[in-house]
Amino acid sequence: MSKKKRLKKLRNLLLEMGAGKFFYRVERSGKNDNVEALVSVINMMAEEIEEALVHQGYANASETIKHIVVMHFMLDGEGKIVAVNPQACTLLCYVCSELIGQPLIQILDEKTSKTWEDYLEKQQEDSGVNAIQLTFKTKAGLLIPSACYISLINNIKGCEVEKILTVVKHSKKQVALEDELREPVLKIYNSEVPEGEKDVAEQKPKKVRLTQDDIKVIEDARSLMLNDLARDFRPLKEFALQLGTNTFKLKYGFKELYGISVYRYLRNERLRKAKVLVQYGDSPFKSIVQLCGFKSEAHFSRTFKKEFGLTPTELRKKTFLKRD
Amino acid sequence: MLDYTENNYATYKIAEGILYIRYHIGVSIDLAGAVKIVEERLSLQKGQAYPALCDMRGVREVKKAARDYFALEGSILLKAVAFLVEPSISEVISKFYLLANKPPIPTQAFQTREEAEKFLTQYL
Repeated sequence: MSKKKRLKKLRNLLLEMGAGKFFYRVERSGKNDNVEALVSVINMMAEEIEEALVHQGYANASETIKHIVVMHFMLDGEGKIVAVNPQACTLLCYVCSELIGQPLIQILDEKTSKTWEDYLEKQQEDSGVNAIQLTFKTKAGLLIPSACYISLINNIKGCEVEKILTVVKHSKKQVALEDELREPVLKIYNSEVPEGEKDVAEQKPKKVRLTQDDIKVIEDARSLMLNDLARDFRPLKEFALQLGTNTFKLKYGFKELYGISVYRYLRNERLRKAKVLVQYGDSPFKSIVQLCGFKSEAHFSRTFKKEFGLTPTELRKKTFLKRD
Repeated sequence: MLDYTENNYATYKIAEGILYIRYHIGVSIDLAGAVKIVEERLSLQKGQAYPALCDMRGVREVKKAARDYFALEGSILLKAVAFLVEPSISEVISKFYLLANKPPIPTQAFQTREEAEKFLTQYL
């Protein structure tokens, strides 16, 4: 792909992002030049923003209305498109008539068309809902990596539809506002939202106001915990003091920023580390308990089982057997 | 003790207290790949923590889920990480990772092996 072509795709991607659609990606070429580096970093940025949108916390403040963009494809036995919703056509930049009758594989990128072929081959054995990861390719050449949910449906006589493929996405586009009002909306994103307009959609509980410094402190709290999972962080008051903030800000600010309470976060990270050590390491559980800050082996085993459905011993055995 | 291993993504070697990981040319890493890469590393390490020199000049793409995995699970039993990068792609991926994912262990990117090794010697 030439530089000019790749730059044009980048421009299109940025335009889509400006319109609130963060699920497009630019196809990667094999080159290693500045344009390709730009493509790579913008794709990564789009991934981060897309994820942040789904997160309910600080990153997705209450002034935005979340909106779900859906593509539906009705497919026949051979994977040809029988019907498609208009929104899918818009997202993929096709006219509906161009898509109907075409095999789905036509609008997939090279890599995932193989996944789709494998799925079609295997699906005879399976039934019910399946989830696979496919990447759609728009007419303009942008990529849309998507989790797809496929439901097989019982055939009614004379009906050629055999399965429905559904894609769910999030968009920041404000549903309540007409397109011609978009400009002021974009300005609102960048500045403060007027008080009255804030809770149009629904009355949400008042959020803690966090300054840049507060956010920095909370990020520090997170990294301190991550680096020292063995430490006992209770009481929270002392931890807050050490960070130079107060319990209230730490407690509610953390929840706001990461969508999870301080202790729950700590518990999750301890479990996450412990799981990897149990699965892939061979250190005794006693040292894992210490390393990850659990109170006792019994406590560790109990919490572990509750989270993963297996005790540490069972998981280690299972991983060991799988490896051989 | 076996101190060398290899998979579809990278080759691993332990020499003079440093774990060397060299990614193959043109690899694209998704979550399944990241899990495999970390698993292979941990099985070679046998519970010992090492500083790691990670030659990622061949890496073409690291997906978000994989970046997140590397920053948390991927940092287990590593004392420090030095990335060996070159312009343009691997350099920008390492920069993005360091800024956005903030790995919990000391991590820096270098353009020469000597600098990378020098950085790691303080963690030996």
